[in-house]
Amino acid sequence: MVPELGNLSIMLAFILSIIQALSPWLNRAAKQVDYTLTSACLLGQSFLVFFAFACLVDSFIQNDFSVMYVARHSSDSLPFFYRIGAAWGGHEGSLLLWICMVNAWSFILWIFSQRIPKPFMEKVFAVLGFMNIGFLSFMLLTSNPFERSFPDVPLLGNDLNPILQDPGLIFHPPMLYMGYVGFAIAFAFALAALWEGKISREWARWVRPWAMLSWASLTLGIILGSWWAYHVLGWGGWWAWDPVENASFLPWLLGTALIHSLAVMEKRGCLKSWTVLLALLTFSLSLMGTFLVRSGVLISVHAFANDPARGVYLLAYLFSVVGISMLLYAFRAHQFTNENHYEFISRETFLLSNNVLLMVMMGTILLGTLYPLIIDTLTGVKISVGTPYFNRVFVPFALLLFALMGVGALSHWQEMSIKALHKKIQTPLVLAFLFALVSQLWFPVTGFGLAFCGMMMGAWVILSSLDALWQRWRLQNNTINLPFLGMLIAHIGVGFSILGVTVVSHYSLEREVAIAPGEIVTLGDIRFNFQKLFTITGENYTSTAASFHVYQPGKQVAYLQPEKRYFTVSKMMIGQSAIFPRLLQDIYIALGDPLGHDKWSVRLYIKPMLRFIWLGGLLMMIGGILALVGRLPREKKT
Amino acid sequence: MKIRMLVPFVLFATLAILFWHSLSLDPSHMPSPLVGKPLPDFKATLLGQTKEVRSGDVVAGKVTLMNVWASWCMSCYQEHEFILKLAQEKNIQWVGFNYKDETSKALIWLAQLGNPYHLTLADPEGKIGILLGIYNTPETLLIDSKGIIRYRYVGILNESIWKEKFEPELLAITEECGL
Amino acid sequence: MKLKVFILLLCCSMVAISAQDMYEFSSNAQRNRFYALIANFRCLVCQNETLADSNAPLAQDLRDNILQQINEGATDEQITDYLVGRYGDFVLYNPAFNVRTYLLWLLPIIMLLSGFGFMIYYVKRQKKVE
Repeated sequence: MVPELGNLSIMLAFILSIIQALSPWLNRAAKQVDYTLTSACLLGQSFLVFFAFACLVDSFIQNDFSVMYVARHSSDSLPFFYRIGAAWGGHEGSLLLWICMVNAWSFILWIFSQRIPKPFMEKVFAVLGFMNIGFLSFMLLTSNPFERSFPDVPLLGNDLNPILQDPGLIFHPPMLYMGYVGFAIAFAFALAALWEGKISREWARWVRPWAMLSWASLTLGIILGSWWAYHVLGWGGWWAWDPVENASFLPWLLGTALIHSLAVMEKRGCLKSWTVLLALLTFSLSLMGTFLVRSGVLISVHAFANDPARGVYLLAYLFSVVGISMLLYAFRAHQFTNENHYEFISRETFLLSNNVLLMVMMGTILLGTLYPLIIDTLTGVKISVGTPYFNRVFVPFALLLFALMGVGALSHWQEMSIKALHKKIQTPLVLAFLFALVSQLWFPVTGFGLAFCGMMMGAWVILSSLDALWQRWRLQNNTINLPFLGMLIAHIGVGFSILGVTVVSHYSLEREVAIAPGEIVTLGDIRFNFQKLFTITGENYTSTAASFHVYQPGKQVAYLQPEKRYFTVSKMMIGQSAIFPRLLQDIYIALGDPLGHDKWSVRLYIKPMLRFIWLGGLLMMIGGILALVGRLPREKKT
Repeated sequence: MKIRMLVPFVLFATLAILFWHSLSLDPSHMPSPLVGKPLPDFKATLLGQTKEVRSGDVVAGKVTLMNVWASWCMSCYQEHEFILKLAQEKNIQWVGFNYKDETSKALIWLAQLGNPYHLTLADPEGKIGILLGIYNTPETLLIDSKGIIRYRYVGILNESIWKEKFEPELLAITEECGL
Repeated sequence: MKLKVFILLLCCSMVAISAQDMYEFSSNAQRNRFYALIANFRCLVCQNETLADSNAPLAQDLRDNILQQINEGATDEQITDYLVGRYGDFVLYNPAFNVRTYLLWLLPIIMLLSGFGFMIYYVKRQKKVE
């Protein structure tokens, strides 16, 4: 009964989405001016979609195996929390999660957009309705999670893929989707502006909080993904330039460009059509990412089960939504006139160059990700483009971006003399150089000095931000407000991430050994004592565990227990790495395979400052939220 | 002014066409770079025996289908019946290539399911497999009478694959040699 | 006598045995070469992992093969050619620089230069419109 209710809810929501999309015309026809139709459709859809999601989760909690999706992704022995997470562990369920996110955002937008002129909002909601039509029909036609398998009801479920049985599953997809889908709001605002044929500075003010919140969510979503991959995949990697990882990074890069461009547009009234284009492209990249993951076109550890029919449908959807928006842009955006102008050396230019760089970085990663596909299409030859390529092309661009970032933070709006600029950047630049020199004590120069550059850039970004704070406090200390602090914290976060990436990429230690109980192994100044092997029985697995005592000179610092888990229902074996996490240094052990004679292969890693990367990401997110909160309109002005 | 504004659309349309075409491709399918080249020279023992043979001797003068299989491979089990049927054609020789398997298990497998192979080579450690660019099971290589690898198929052999991929190539070989 | 034997045995039991590295090398340079190489090749079974990270049997075989080739004195280029000759360009995560990949390697810098070029043109041009 419950799955049928869920199914019915989706169908009703689909009908409502059509009405919502048509509501501008329907309202005109009925000579309505209070837009209750739009609101009703929106609220109705939200309720129905959440209800459907609740039905799906209920089916998982009850382990109703007559629902095919549940049978594919759950089992009797699957722990409770993972049963809920399994609701979005597969293609159909995660699509429903996506749709829920669209409606959640729409609902919150509806609540907080009361001050925006209704004719405009009507168009925004119509665009969102139009998008929902696509997603809901996609679900109903090709990917319905409520499909039943009557009359053959399986007695047992397949169990959730063991790799997904991790806390990461509970947090990463929802947060990621929150980010992806959030940019649909900016997209809808952009399309509505093109639809009306006019745009004002106010438009930027309306969109900014939504773009910032989406950006902050996406940042957190990506950080969570990196954290999850790190402790699950067994080789201490935190980013693999996997096609689907890249698919999440592309909207993030453009989203970063968007929030900066919105700042310029709101403050100075220029870069209007560029900002609108960014708003359109960011969500387009989210959609493209969805297509790539679910169509089977690329090989990835993230890819859902492939089905060309789904691919065709998604492509048609992508083409219509993005194609229409690009055409509207081509025909309407030139009408947007810019207000102030700015000199060549000015904050506007620095922000614009940041945008250009981010766009180029996005284009480069897109090129690398799609290149095997392009070559296969043109020549039939299969090639691979992986980490070595991405690192080589991305790092120089990133270094350039960081250099400009610091300068931009210290620059003035509208115009600035080269002399003044020169004076401003001197102190932080010199200090950053000194910092990199001092860091050589712990992290000596290797290879091309890339590590040195990284250390210097990280310090440069942090110090130039702090210097900007100092300047402001010294000269105009009553203008240090929440948005400014937010920007600073976010930029400092970037600096922390740069330092983390630099150190962990150049100064990690790794060793692979064949070891038997009772033996010891050393790595760096750390000694590992392999005590013994023993068996553990979990809820739905049995595992072989190895106990390690870890010593740093002087004392024992940790007890680590890597395992090899065999999941009885899915018959899959995965490793469960053991990690001793610290901000300055992670110790990581992965248990391999038995080699005979009591020996096992074991991989040991020391990862210095890895957590700085995620700390930086968290600071970016916090900075974004502070900036967002600081700009919310208040009832009384101080 | 206006033409410039169409650039995003044009770029996107190109991308869409690329995606459309790529839906009909299989990203994990990999053609072998050894196609068109002679079968690499190697020595292998026959399964269950101590006698060694040279690859060149095995394929000389006959059209050979080398089938890579193992007793632990479920897909090999699925295609075996089809191969038994095909092996009844006399002018092609089927050579088995037992890959990363235990000899006793392999022999039992053949005894229980039937042996379509003229002879079977053993590669228990997979070292010869690397020489031949083998990466999965089952694989089937078509080698002509001059010892040149004409085609490599990775996956379960069935009627439609045989008709689509192998028969045209066999026809070409027959025409060349005038057999 | 018994005391001496006892002390000897006691000493032996206190010496902990060190684990052996999975792969033995004759020099640090060779070790570095090996780990750099296996990170650059793609596993054909687990196609989203490098040869370094993959646990697939074929990956282990290929790692052993590369180790053997290094010990026999093969250069990085020879080892690369060997694998590419058998598994195609697909096995290279670091794409070669050839006719097929010119665009891949050159477009990023072209994009950067044209992006900045256009930006400079745009910024300078808007100055004139007062």
